Formats: sequence, C-alpha cells, structure tokens
Amino acid sequence: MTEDNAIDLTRLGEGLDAYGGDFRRWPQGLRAAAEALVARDQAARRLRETALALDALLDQAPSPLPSRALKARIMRPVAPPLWRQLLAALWPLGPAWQPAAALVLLAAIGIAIGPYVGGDEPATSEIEVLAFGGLQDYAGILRDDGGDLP
Amino acid sequence: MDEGAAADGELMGRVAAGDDAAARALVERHLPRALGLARRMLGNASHAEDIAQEAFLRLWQQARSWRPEARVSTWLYRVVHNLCFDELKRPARHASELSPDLPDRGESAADRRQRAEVSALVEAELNALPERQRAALALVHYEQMAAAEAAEILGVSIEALESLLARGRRTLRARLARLRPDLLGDVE
Repeated sequence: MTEDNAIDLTRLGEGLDAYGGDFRRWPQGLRAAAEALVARDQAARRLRETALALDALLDQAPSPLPSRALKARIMRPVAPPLWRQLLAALWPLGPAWQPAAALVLLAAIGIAIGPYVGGDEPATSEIEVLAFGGLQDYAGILRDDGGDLP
Repeated sequence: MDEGAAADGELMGRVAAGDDAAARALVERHLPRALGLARRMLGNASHAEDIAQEAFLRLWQQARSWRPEARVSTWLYRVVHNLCFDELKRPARHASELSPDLPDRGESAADRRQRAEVSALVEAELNALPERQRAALALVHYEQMAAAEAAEILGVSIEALESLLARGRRTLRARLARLRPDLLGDVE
C-alpha cells in the first residue's frame, strides 16, 4: 500500500485488514486520509466496525506483564558488587562513595595536621601534673625540711 | 532518530560505564514489549521469560561496543524474534498455555470465567497461526509498534508486513467466527 493523501474504499479495506480499526496502529502517512474517508462514507464505517470487532476480540488476550523476579534476573549481570550495595543501603541518599570519600579525606587531613596543632601550649594534662607537678612539690618539701636535694 | 532512541543510546553508554540505574531504565522501557513478543511467539510464559532474559544479556554484552546511531528497540526485538524462531525449532520445549493470567477488573466470577474462556480461545487461535504472521500481529497489534520498525525487526518490506498481518487477521476472523459466532457479533 502506498501512502497517498487520499485513499479509496479498496485501499481502506487493505489497511483495515492489516492494521485493524484503531488508526493509532496505522502508518502515520495514512491515518488522516483513512479517518477522513470513514467520516464521510457509510460503507467505510461498516468496514471499520468489522475490523474493530476483531480488534476487541484480540484484546481479550492481553500481553503479560513482566514479574519482579524476571527483572531481578535480567539485572543480575549488571548489578553493582556487594560492597557497593551495602554502602548504598547504609547511605540511601545517593552515591555512597561521596560521603565515604569525604570521611576518609577528613581523617587523612586530621592525621596530617594533628602533630602541628597545639604543640607549644603548656602541659596541663592530668598525667603531666601527676608526673612533674608532684615531683616539684616533693622537692619543695625536702628543701623545707633541710634535706640534701639541690 | 527519535528522542526515545537517542535516550536509549545514551543509556547504553552509561551501562557500559557500570551504571545499573541506566540498565534498569532500559529494562523498564523495553522488557514489557520484549516479553510480550516472546509470549505471543512461543505461547508459553516460562520460555518467553527465558528468551527475554537472554536477549537482555546479549544487550548488556553489546554495551561497550554500542554505536550511538543504532536503535536499542529494533536491535532487542529482533534478537527476541530470532531467539524465538530458534526456540520454535525445538518442538518438545514449547507446549502452549491456554490459560494466561488475566488482569483483575473487579468483575463477577462468572464474567471472569467467560473472559478467561474467550482469552484462551483467542490465544489458541493465535498460536495456531504460522510463526511469521504471529510475530507480525504481536509487534503491530499487541505491542503497537510502528509498521516501519516492525518490518525492520522481521526483516521484510512494509508491503510484506502488511501481507502477513492481513493474512493473519483474516484467518483469525474466520476461525473465531466459526468457533464462536457470537464473539464477532453481526459484523461477519
């Protein structure tokens, strides 16, 4: 069938035989001409009704819908590795590598600059007080008592 | 190339880069038609699922070498069609099912039984058609594919596609009207 602008009853019949009565299934170039003929011709309308009746009957046997199990089977070869799935479960808001990488970066920065931060401040920890403060106090006590420490 | 085909090409590029979300998008877009075509051609739900799975596996294998100008839909459905033909050459494996699952429409039990009966009858007559007529009807009627793409998938001209469709529909009309004249009303 060629795609002319106007079609006659014979050509409409050929199209209905092939594509059925629903013009959405027809080639785009033929639709308007077929609809125009059906709109103005009683015999064309009868031909279309016959085709629509068969369409309705065919639609009684609908296509199957894919199951979740089938989709899972199909996705298995392209599914991410287990560690990425675990990260995604822990971080469902987006790609899990981003927060993980941010944490690793912050930890690295902390380790790198840690030794240079707060090194000149006086020792005030409890251990230092116990270790040195206590000894100095003891030296003072010995001096007061006339002991032989310098 | 239309927008859908271009988007499919982009998704294939992302699949090649390991993006499973892109693969999932392709599955959502093309699996229903691929499965529908296989189901119509084989008449068996379980084997149709195997064919659809195999076709997608082959698609994933093509991801790295995919040419952007290629059309995923045409390629995939042609693979399904060819796999079904190979499957049909093994007669022992493809026993037809005459009671497909029907969607629940909230009707009475009697109406549902009647619908199941008609559905089984139509399925049986579809399965009795020659393979190429069945494939043409599956693509154009059930999967509502454009004639040009359906012809490309089947490897025939549009005129040959129309001939397959017309012969298939005429046979179905004659058989269904003979078996159940009430189904086609007074239009026969």
